[in-house]
Amino acid sequence: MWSTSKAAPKQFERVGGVEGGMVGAMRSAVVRVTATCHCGAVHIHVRKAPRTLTQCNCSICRRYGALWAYYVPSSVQIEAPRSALESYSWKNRIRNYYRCKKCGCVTHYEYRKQSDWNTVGVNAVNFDPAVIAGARIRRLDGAKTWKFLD
Amino acid sequence: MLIEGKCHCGNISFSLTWEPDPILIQARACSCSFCSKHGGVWTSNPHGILRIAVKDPTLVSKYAFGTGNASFHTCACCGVVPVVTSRIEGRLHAVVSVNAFEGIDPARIRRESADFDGEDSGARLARWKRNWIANVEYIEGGT
Repeated sequence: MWSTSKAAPKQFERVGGVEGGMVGAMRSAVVRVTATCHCGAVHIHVRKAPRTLTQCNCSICRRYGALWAYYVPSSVQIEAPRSALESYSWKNRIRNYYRCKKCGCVTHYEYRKQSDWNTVGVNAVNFDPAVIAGARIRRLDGAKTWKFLD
Repeated sequence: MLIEGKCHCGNISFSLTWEPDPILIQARACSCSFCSKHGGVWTSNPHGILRIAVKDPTLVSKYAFGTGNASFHTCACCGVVPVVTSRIEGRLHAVVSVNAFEGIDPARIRRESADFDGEDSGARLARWKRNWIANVEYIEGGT
């Protein structure tokens, strides 16, 4: 079963380094697609491969070189040791951008709890390239107009 | 021209003097396992002069993989990787991320994919020595 939490995706800690060692609902989840950081410490499981990705030119997204795939929190499961993730937020601090502490790969963002939004942005560059090969990439002008450029 | 860049929070910044002014800045979107997961798009001018300034050196993670010859300077505050360095025959060499540029028209940057899979360590270091910026000053505690 997938988590039904609307506040944030479930985070699971890998115990013993084996699939069967994961805790909670993860054990019986129907895992379809997994994004993994470079060193392998962080895995993000989602229900479906993304069909559309967003490439944003704002000050943070362009620096991360991210391709965002959007999911509702209940369809995202994050599997990582609790100490493996670091986050960054700035200015009005609407979102937390998470990355692997070891290899620095930006894995996802979440809206903070006080936000009206709860979409989770999963950085699709961490999927196997074959998973996103057929996805359409849309270019968002997050730097100025917040409109798509294509 | 002077090209300036920085990570998002400004802990790691750089200024690259590139003469004469390039009409187009050639950039390599490397397809290696690390760069593809970091959206890494790099450029260098072997005749350029690069000054890297790090405000707080304790907030820089230097992740290395593969042959371990390249250091990816990741800001431990914001997570951006503005520069990669390698010490080759005792001399510091570097490439910079075009994603971290400030105030440069994106139309001036020509991004091309680059696949160096299968290249051995010796050939790689020789290529870096040939193409990377060789005049690099790394200043810690600077602004």
